[in-house]
Amino acid sequence: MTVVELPSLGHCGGLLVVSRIGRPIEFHCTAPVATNRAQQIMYGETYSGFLFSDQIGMALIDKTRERPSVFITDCAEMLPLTELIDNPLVFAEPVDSKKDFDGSGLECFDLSGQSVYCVNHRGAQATAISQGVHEFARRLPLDEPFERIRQAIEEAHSVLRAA
Amino acid sequence: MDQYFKLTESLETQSPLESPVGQVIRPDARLPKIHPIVVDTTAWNQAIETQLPDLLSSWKAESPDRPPVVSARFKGRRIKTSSYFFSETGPAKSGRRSSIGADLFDPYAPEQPADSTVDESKSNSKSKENKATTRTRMKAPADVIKLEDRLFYLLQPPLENLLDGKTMEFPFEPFPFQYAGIAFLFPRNSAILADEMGLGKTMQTIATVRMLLRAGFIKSVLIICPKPLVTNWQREFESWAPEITVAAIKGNQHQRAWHWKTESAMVKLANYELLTRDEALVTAPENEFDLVILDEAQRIKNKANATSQVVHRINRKRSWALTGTPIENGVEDLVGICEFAAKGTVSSGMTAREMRVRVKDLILRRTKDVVMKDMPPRLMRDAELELSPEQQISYDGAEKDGVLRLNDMGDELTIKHVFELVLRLKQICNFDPATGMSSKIERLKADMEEVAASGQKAIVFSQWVDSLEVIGKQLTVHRPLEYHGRIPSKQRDPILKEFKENPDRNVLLMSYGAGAVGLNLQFCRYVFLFDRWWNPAIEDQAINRAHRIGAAGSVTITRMIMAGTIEQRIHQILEEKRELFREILSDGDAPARRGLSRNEIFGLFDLTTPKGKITPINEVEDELGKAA
Repeated sequence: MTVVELPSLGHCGGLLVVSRIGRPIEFHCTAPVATNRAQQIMYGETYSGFLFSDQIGMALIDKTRERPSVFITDCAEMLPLTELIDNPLVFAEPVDSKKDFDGSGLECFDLSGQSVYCVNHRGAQATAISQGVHEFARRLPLDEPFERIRQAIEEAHSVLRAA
Repeated sequence: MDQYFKLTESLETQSPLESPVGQVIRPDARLPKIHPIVVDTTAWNQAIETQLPDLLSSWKAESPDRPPVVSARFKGRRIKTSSYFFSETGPAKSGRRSSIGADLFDPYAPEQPADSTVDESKSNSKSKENKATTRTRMKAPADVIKLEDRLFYLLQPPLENLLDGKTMEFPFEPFPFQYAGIAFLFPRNSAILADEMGLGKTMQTIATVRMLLRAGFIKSVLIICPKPLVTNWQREFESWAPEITVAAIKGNQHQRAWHWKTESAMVKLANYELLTRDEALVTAPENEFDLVILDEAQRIKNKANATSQVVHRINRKRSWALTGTPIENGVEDLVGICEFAAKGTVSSGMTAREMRVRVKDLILRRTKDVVMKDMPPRLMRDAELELSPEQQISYDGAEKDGVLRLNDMGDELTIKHVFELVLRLKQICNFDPATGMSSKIERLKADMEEVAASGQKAIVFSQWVDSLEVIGKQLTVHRPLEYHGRIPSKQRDPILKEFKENPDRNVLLMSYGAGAVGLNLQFCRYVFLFDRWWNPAIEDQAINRAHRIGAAGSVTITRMIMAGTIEQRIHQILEEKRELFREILSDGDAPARRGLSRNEIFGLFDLTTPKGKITPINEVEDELGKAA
């Protein structure tokens, strides 16, 4: 699950549900969500968390038919979703990320040089999540499905624009 | 969301989207003393910027002690979402999965246990490096319109992961450009794979067929190839798709009829030669194929010939053409192939530039110099030789007489007459008809001494079987093997085996017609073109028997050209033909250039173009090819 910014359109979310070996089962994407000035004022620093998690993330998750055993995102702003869903959520920090991510309070594990965070409030669950993510990454690099989501969002919007 | 930002409980059931901007609610006096203004979040900007003062001034506070309160309720907007659901064979209808019959694209299929030992032994470090850095994705072709279908291809994992040996085993890790070829073919109903010879068109095709069959996209495949290549296809299927059943259509009329009607193999292999004989069977309405593949598809470049006519009438859903030389002589060749692969895409009379635009999504063409940068080099050397004195006398006499005769023919002269003279002169360039003397054979003997001494092997190509037989007699010390049209089909495979395995067999004499396509002779380090073929594509095919994937080292190609003769003039024209080929199939924006014209052919002898109909060059060439 990720969010991309489409120039002059806004933010667009994409959720790809894949099998354990990375094959697509479901794909959901949102319409572009333009930044709302009023919300920006009211939410202040929490705005991007609200937009990415409460609005875009939940809109995507509400549409899923399969219940994934774990949600993986490369957007740190989606981590507040953990409070809203029952399924575990991890943040795979992009290897080339230029943002400084403050992972304090989060369980972190290393995956072939990539830092992966999950919220620790579920205790022993973090270990199980880590094992599951490792198992998945053994077959498919963790950053790979996000490439697919981004390309699919681009494709969807280019087709819709042309239509 | 509401738990954080709900500032009022008074209008819980009202959707903020339904609230008109700046709506003022005036409850009676016993209700909460706060008079809320409910605005949705999108209207909030307007509320605070323009309407708020007016709204406030219009209120009547119940108590002077309590100021009016403006309340905003942030329930959040409903965000429009598009959803797509996938099964193993594409977008799921009505969101339901179809039955799971194949495992390749079944997202729910259990993962087969990875055998790390096997993986390690089969992957060299280079392939691992490729795997780590390359992600080849399928992309829907331009003719796939529905977004769901396009996304189905786009959302598949990279081919490197799909074909990582856990669900399918391959004899070796494909190169990145081969993955790209598979990704190109897989989603296409119409495709022309026009890779340069030696890049593995057969392997890419078989791997894609295997994936399509296992995914349940297709169930029946017909592959049509030149007769000598049938066994080659069978061998390749054994290597690259051992679980796929393959049947070669052969035998007498009754046996072939049985094959066409009742053979249950997933892949049927037929040769071009029998198509016209089995026309009624192969084009029967009940004989429908999910995929028809034409190997060496340049065989149908002429739309009018009988084989092309039959091929076009085969009932099929997908049409793929494989050829290293989609343009041998002119753009008409491509029109003929497109007539099979994607009818109507291009037509006669289009310029090269127009054609390139139209076939962009249809053709995939890669060359070795682009994709195989680490492949051993191909060393071309043009051996410009002088005619022996005997040859010179014969040549001068034949040319002088021939040109005189052509000039005397006046309006009767056709291009065929010119070619007859060309053939005559070329034969003299090979051997003097009176004495059998030949500068070329002397040079070849010398070169072969070196080849044999270094333990290497060589292929000698000629247009004429007669020339090959003479060469064979001159090279008896090397115990040459022969592979040409006069060798029965059954004997050909053993000859190649002998050549490959016997270290005492250093030279193979081949005709362009029999040996130019489909054969893997990459253990040869030397190729001699004893005479020149009519177009560079055929020559390239011949050269690429040796210079292909798996070549052990550099391949040296010696083109024998007799200085100051017809061969040198033809050489110049061949180079111009190469330009035409590059113009249509390259990505560059090369300036338009003409290919071989009739004037140029006549120009070989400084003749003027006569009036009247002249036989097209490619037809003449076909006749000459058959003769060879």
